[in-house]
Amino acid sequence: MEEEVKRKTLTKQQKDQIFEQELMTHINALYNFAFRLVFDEDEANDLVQETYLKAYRFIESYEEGTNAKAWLFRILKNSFINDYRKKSKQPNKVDYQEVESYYNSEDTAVEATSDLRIESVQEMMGDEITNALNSLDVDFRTIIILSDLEEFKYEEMAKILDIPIGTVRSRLHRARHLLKEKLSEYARKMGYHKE
Amino acid sequence: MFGSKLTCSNCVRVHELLNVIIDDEASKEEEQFFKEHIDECAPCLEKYNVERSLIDKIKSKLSHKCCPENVVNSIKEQIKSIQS
Repeated sequence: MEEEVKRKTLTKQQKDQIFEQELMTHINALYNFAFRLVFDEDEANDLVQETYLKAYRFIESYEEGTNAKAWLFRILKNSFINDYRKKSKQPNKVDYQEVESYYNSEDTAVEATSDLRIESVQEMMGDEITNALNSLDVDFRTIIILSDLEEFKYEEMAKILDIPIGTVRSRLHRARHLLKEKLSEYARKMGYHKE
Repeated sequence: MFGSKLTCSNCVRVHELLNVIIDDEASKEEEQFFKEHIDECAPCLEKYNVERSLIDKIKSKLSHKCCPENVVNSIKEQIKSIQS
């Protein structure tokens, strides 16, 4: 993989310069991602700090001018999985592979149930969207953030998440569908749907 | 042509393509096929519009949270103190 570590030797000054110019510029996006994963400011702060300290430690394996943002997102995602998930109170975490294969097998049946209308979407305020997104399983939430908010391409998401491009596509497809179902449910309750 | 059709034989393929089109990852041929199809198929056009507006909403409503200044400063301090 492209991940192969190409060690080079940099002076402290060079490292600091790359860090400041190429990595620190993405800190708000990283913080936003962290917060939307953990829903807690202190934990998001820790996750971002850990990500940046790791990035600095491995800065000699980062190639200048390449996709720094994707690299940082990948480090943060791995830190989240390794540290946060272990100690988090998410005992009922569903294995996403299981979820994916379930939904993939039900493809057309699931597709047919979405009745979200454009008028409903247009009437929605930010809260409905945020709540619906937050209620999704973390893997589905993550892929929506990466794609729709951060505008990463499939290939970049595959690297960030360590999954094949085909899985990126199917997971994103599922995630959007689940989001629409939640919003559709919400629209029905609020009377946006005029049957 | 025939106005609004409720279903069509190409809808399944179009639904599969929808995400790829929205994400700007479709090939030229796929894009061409998709455009021609939604010109004639109202249900597919509606699906496309829902999808498009949902993503626009996500972009506009889920604002970016800014990293607190003290976190930024703390990172910079820690980096400064690291010896090469």
